[in-house]
Amino acid sequence: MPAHETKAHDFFGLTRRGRRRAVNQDQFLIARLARSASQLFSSLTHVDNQLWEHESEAHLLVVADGLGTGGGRLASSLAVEVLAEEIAAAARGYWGLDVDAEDQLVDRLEGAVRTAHERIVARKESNDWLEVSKAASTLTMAMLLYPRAYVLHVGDSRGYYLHAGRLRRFTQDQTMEETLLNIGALPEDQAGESGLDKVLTRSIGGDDATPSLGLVDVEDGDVLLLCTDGLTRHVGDDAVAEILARDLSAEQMCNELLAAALAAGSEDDISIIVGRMGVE
Amino acid sequence: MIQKKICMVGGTGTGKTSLVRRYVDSIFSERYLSTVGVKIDRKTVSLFNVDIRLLLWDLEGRSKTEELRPSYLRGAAGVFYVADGTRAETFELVFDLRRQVTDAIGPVPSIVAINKCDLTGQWALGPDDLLRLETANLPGFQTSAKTGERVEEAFHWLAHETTKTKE
Repeated sequence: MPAHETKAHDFFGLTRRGRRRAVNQDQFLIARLARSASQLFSSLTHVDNQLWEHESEAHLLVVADGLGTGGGRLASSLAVEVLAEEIAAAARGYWGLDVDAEDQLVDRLEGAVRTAHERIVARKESNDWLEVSKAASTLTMAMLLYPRAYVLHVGDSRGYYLHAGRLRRFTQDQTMEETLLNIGALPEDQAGESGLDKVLTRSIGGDDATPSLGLVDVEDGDVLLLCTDGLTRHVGDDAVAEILARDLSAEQMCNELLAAALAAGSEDDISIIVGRMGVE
Repeated sequence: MIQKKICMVGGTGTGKTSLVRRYVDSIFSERYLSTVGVKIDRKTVSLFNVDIRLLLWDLEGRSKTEELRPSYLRGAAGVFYVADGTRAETFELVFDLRRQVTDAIGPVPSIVAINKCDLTGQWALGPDDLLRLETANLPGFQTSAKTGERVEEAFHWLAHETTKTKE
């Protein structure tokens, strides 16, 4: 793939059934939403394609007639260049200056979560699932329109990113324990001992599926990590950071994280997605 | 309906997230959890018969040595600065943050919430400080996310100001 077409990122994901589980209930998906705008023909002779060619869905048809002797050609050239640059930027997704369009994207992401929730609830009510009464799911997603990662989160799966060697978590577990800690009904020193860290207050298909919304702008060299609690209940943040900071591929990082979880005795299902930003 | 993006900007631990929680959900927690990146909340208000959908971008707190990310500020119709009234350095930081905001997006309607006004015994600011805000043409509100004091008033004041600005 030509270097100018897209920023190269290195993604990998894996899932593994827990030792105690008959069926792996985790799922993961890494999808590329491919759209592109690229120059086919042009009278321009000095276009720097890197300025405006980008992934997006757009067809751009432009004619430009320069006016004035001497400067006309330069003017029309500049007009087309700038127009291409602006439209490609706007079509890059919703990354840009348009607040309304960006909010529409967030709305759509939120709507997708709501639809997933409604479908699960409908299936539960139709009684065509066995043992449906408690069917629900966590969901943590990041939609990357580089460099911006939009994050939606329901439940206790987690999202992190490593920046400048520092691991930062951009999700907060939506559990009964967190709720009690927040209102001061549970002392911090009793966290993890109550068993309430496994009781979800929000889940897709549960009583409350309201997602928390956020975003983070990442940079080349940053590493994104999404994972289920089969990893995070057994591998601490320091150990996760140490693995993500190594000079490894995304696949190797996933395997190292999985090995660390298994070595620490994880018997739950484990799903891990790693994305290395801006790799060469 | 018109939409207005409001950015919450201030030092770490000043109560930006708590002010949003109080305003949007009418809840308060003593527990401090630092924000990573940006948290997004939305709230629709009706002011002077105009419905405004506020897009509240709660930016992670900054220290003295950290710069704001201009990319988070783009498109903001208003900036809600937050200082902790019990920590004078967070008040000083507001002026530096305002310079960064103005450099990034130009002048926009702004407000300074001097938060934690329920902690009267630990208050670190005096009348001169409020005068400095006035001199800098920055309206100041003493707020408490804990009690809710002047929180809604501050958000609504800023929301109304953003409607006066021609886009």
